[in-house]
Amino acid sequence: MNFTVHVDGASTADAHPSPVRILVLTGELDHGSAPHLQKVLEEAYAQQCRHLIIDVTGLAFCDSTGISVFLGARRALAAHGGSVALAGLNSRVQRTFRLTGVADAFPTYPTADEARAAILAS
Amino acid sequence: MDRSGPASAYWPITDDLSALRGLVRGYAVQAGLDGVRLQDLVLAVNEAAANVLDHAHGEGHVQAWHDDRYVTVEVHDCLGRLVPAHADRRNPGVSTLRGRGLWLMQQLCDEVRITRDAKGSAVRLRQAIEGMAPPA
Repeated sequence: MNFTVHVDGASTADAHPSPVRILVLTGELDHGSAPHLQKVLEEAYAQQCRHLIIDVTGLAFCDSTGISVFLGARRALAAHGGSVALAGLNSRVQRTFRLTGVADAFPTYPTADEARAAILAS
Repeated sequence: MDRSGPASAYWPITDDLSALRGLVRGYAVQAGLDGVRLQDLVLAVNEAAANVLDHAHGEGHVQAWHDDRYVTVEVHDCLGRLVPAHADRRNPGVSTLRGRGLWLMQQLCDEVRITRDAKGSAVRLRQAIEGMAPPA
């Protein structure tokens, strides 16, 4: 299965890019596809993204390589007062996060919209 | 369920872990695993094979076999850096970015054992087939 990342809130024409960016992940995030996500994240950092919402509703598989990338994003954004939130965790991805011991490292929301509302309200 | 499929299987490790997961899933389903325990075994094998890609130059293979009680999958590398003591690894915590594979395998499988011989190291992952009689 393929892995894709759709970026929401990244209009380059905008002189004041939104500090909140949503990445919608679809497919399988693993050793092979993690470098693609890493590249998208680095583009987001370069464009002054502060708060990242990762929508994993469509994520069919996530391994520890994927979790490493999420933790790396958390570290990179926290260094600038930012954050990483996860939206739409299915039971499989949730189990992987829990068993890996990183479930509490990320605020989680049912949907990306709810995550965005919470970040903008804070 | 018909469990008369192939008794054992052998697959080389390549960059395509998605394909490997599909092969392991198919084998384990035929052996009688399903649900969360099936998905857990597939993820554990994925973790062991990713370690071979990262730490053993990507050279290795996977062997699987089963009986009425267990599905067993061994992930072999050709380097032999992995030693049995690695199986005791603790959870590295959220401040560490990498190195969670073995910890995760232990949470996912009934048995995780590391063996080593002249040809390299192997991680043996074993999952009991639910609904079968417990071991005598």
